[in-house]
Amino acid sequence: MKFSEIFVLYQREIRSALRERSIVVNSFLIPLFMYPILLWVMFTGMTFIRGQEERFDSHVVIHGLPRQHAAFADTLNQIERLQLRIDHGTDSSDIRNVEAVRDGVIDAFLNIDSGSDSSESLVPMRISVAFNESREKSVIARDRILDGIRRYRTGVLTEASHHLGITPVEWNVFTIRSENTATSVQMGRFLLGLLLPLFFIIMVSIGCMHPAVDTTAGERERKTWETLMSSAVSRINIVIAKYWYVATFGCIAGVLNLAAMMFSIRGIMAPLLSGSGSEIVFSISLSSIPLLILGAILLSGFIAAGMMLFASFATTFKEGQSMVTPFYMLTILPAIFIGQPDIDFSLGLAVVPVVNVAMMVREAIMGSYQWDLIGVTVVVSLFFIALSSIIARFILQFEDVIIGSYSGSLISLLKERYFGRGSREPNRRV
Amino acid sequence: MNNGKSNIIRTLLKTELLMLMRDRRTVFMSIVLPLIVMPIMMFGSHWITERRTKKIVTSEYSFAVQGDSLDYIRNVIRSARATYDSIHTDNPLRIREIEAESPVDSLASAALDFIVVFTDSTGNLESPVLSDTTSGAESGSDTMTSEILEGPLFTLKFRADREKSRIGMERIGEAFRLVREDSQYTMLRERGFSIDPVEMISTEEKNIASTEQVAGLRIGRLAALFFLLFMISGGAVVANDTIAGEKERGTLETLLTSAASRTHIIIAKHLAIFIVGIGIATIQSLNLLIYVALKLIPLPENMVFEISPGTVFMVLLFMLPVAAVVSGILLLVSAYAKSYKEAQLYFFPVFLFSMVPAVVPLFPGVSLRSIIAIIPVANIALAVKEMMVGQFDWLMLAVSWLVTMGAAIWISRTAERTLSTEHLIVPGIEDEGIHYNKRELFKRQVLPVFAILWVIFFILSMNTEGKLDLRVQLALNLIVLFLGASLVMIRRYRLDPVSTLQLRLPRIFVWPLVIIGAPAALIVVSALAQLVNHVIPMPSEYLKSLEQYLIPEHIPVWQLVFFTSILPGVVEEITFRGVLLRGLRDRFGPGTTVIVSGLIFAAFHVALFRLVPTAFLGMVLALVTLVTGSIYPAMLWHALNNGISLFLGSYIESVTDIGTWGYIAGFLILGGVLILLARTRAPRSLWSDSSGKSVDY
Amino acid sequence: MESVTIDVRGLTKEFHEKSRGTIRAVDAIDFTCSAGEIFGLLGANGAGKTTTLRMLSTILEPTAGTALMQGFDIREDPENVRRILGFYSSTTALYPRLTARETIGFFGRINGYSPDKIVSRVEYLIQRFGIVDYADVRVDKLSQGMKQKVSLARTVAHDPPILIFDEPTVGLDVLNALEMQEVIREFREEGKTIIFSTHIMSEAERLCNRIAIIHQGKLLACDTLEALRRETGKRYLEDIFVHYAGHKEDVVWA
Repeated sequence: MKFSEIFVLYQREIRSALRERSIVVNSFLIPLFMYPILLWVMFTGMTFIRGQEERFDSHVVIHGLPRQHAAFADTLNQIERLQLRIDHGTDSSDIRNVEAVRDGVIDAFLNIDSGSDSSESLVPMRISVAFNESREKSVIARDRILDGIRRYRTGVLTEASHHLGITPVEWNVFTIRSENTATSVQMGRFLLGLLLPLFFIIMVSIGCMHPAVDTTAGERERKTWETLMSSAVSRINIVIAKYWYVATFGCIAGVLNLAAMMFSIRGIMAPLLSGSGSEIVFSISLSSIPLLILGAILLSGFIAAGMMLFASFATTFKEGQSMVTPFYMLTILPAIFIGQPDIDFSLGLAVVPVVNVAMMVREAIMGSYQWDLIGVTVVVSLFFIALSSIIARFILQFEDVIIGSYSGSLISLLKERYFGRGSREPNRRV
Repeated sequence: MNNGKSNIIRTLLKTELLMLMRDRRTVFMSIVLPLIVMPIMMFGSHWITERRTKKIVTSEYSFAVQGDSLDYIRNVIRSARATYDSIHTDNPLRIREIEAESPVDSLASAALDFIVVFTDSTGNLESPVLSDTTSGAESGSDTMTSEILEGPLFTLKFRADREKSRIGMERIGEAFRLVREDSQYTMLRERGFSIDPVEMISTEEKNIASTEQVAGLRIGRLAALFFLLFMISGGAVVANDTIAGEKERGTLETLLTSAASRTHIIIAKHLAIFIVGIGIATIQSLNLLIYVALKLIPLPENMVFEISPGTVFMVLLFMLPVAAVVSGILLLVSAYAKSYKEAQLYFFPVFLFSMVPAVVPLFPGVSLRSIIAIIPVANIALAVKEMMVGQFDWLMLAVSWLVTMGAAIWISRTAERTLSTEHLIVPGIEDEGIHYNKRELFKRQVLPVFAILWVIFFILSMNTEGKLDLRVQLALNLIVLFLGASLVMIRRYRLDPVSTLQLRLPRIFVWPLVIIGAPAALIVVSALAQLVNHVIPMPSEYLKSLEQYLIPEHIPVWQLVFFTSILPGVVEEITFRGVLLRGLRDRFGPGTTVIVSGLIFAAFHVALFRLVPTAFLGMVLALVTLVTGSIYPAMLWHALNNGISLFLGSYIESVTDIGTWGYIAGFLILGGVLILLARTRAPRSLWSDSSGKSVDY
Repeated sequence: MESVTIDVRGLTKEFHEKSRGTIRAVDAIDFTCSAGEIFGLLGANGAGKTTTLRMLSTILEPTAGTALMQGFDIREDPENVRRILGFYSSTTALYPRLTARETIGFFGRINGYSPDKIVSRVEYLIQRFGIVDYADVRVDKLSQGMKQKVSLARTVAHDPPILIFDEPTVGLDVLNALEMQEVIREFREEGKTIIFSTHIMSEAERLCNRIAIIHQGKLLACDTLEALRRETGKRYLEDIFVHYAGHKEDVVWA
């Protein structure tokens, strides 16, 4: 392993990769720009939806309102964008109104049953709210009505309590408030910890994919593979240089992505969340950055190794991509599941590659460092990287793999020549 | 010869499909893999939600008590818990009190899930506390008050960044509310309230919609989206290969020299993508349905899956034009790309872009009987949702189907034209190896550079919004970013400032035209803004926040004028109508240049809602600059524009309604000004001559 | 056989490049070809040979001038032109996933060969080109020489009277190249009109009835080899070429 030689090869790989448009786009531009654009679109979309919803006037018909509760109509009328119409009609009006709700002519129908005795000063009300769940406007109307009912009810009972001589303090019994003792920074980190790890994994995978396929299958397609193989450098060094190159790009993609997310999320999420009444600050502590970089390195090391192994059996770029895709899916799938807030970083998770790095990253963002689990993560990742280099060494023994005339995939090769020894003994180069 | 023609198409189509089927790996990737992956994902997410609910139910929440009368607190907690359990019989509240020396620290270290703090009478709390649960958490109304409270107060301290803490707090909060309500009722009853308080006002919800309709709504909103997703992922590989891949391999040329006409070839390829796409989409959907029917994937909230076969048929019928459009777009992308890799590169943004129309049914209250009916794909997505809910607006349905099908045919035709476009089908005609001088580089790099500039601008403004003084912010954006970038570009590409920025005086009569035109343009822009607001209404809070931003109080007038009118007028013109316009004009025709520069100008003014009016203004300014051969008129125009709107905004309260006549007048005046300028344009203005040599008067 | 099958009149092709301005790749070329002859287009790379042939096969549209292929105008009637044409280029490839038999059948069909006769035609071609042993093997598994045979077979699958070969022997080894030349000669014996472009002098000498020298888009000479020898007083085609091309600017062997 001559480092100077490897370095020369490495430089060449990087230089030609930087001139390849698809690689630059996938490994740099997408991680960098996707966030601002995506989040901007989301933000615009949500404000748009809110704007739409505000526009709706709910048309509500009410029937059977007893005079004792005339104030209820006022309460409803005070609701913004709710237009109330009182139906003084007879019984058949129920069916008409219900049909109107079904057809969307009106948004909701309140049918009130207040018992037969209308001479009392106070009567109970049974309100039946008819709405059509298959129309969004009707659902919105129902929500507005329920809100109004709640408020009116509270008012009625409170007033009754006054009439009965209960003091406001007594009536209040006690006030209940909640207080979030998490700081805005902690809240921000919590949210970041939920979002970032998944995107991190996806970005590193995307960042690795094109370089990995291009440097193996792509070279075969361009017919430069043979040129390389016939040069004076040793095969192992060539492979190592390529591996470093792919891992570098994957790592950069991951880091760029983290940075881009950090910068854009602040601007976009803040106004979205400001409605919920709490200030959220998105920042990560400086001390967590080394761990994040470590995570990027481990992750890209693993993914680069896996992808290259699979792609080296392809002869065209397209074939290479399809060989790598199952591996790509395997890395992303578990990541989707760990986007849950209540999953804790445990030993069980620490031995699963990719997932362990994602958990490590999340914990680093949230500011908790479980050094023992971090250690396990590092060890496991390094183990898998070592495993792939052993597999790489194994497959490089076979001439037909090197030349590219072996038609089949990594799995079939392993099946034939490792597990099924003796079935086909091709030329081996020691 | 009709028979012969269909024969050729049949042969082409059969061969395409045959070759595809033989690519076993692609078949596996496109069909088998998603068939396995999707159920796993659905199952996985279901399992996770189950796990969560179970955890919530079985968890035991630890808490501590603090404050006055600890025994009272414990009593309340006990009865709260009892009340809660009596209502939520399958989901009892498990809590355990823990003795803690410093409860706050224990809360922070997760030894506790929440703390119950009690302060007896006249607790003075002036500071606004984060959320008020007295009116019920479901109301959603923001009751953030800062009143001085009297009487007993329970404060539930928790950590919102920990799930368990948050859920524990919510549950105990609900328990407290129940107990409180109970006490109130008891008080009423004891004092002789004639009616049972519970019965006082009771509500019953009656959902008129049939289960079929509700299910229809849920599925209908997402149907088009999923279908598109399946179709695109299924058709993409075929599409990329079918023209772009063939170009690379050299088989396209062979095909083009055969007797098959371009139309035949395109139709066959389009059909191939269409068939494969639909096939895969069907397989995926069936797969999903089978899993649902076998209850392997449980549906959320006991959704009953009932849709009439008639509706299913209609939905399928309506998905056909969508499939045609999607396969057409994929074909077009492949036709423009010169290699498989390039096609893939274009694919990603195209993919995102085409999913957007399918999102329309997710918006509440949009109806097919509106302008949406003539927007392809969006109209079908909406139509499907409406049909599944049982609304059949036949006229609009027919319109939607025809419009989308028409779009598909148009796209196909465009793809066909690329087969006759020489530089797309014959590799090597557009040379790659020419040594570009700096000017060439500028032409090619101007768009990417502005894209990067946009990102920087965006990040900067997002991070500094509201934090900096208006003047500092504007100075930062304009001088550092825009002016700086322009100077860097001029330096880097060795551009001649005078000819690039068109720093020459225009003819005299241009000036009065500008002075008349600027207010007229402002009127038209405001009309446009209102028009846009009609279609895409902005929420009122957003509008209010915009207004507040524009008119800060404490800045002297002359500084306001300088920073908001003069500085942008000069600097933005240099950047957009100077450098950008030059770069675009080198590449495109005058019309395209005006439009593109207008759009880019609008993009830098970030808000989507102001996009159209700002773009319009940008286009007007670009037009003026091109036609007069000078940048100074645009500077004046821009400064006037900003200045007038500043005055209108801060000194005249509402000029919202100029009246229809006012708008028409503005429109006419602006039109007149522009036409005059165009008619009398300088003989070698940038409009007609992109070489930009000096204009002599 | 004297019947004129190809009549090229004033064929011109200009390309507009933003960076270089207008390039006239083919400049008002006239020539005719008859049935039963091999007509050679000789020139350096970039001289305009490929562009000319692409125009004749209707892939590119001429800027000026036209050509009649068995009476069909390439501008007015491109489809009919392609029907009577077989185009072969070393850059055009075969579909990797089709078998040899399927390839020949496919191209026969889409070029309008009558469907009921297609099967026997395919069989005939398989026999004739000696593809029998691998007729049902996928193209991507064939060697270079085998692919060449399949390519030739698919070129004539629809039995076109006119054949265009654009630098067909590029990249072939000696034996394969000789075999290619032999096949082209056979086609001539069958009465086909063949246009053949190359920059290999010895090939042109051996195969062509008449030779046209193209340089920088212009047709500099067009006659039989003997006539060119008499005209220039040189024996070898290379010298003849330089004689004509060298009178213009320096020949650039790209």
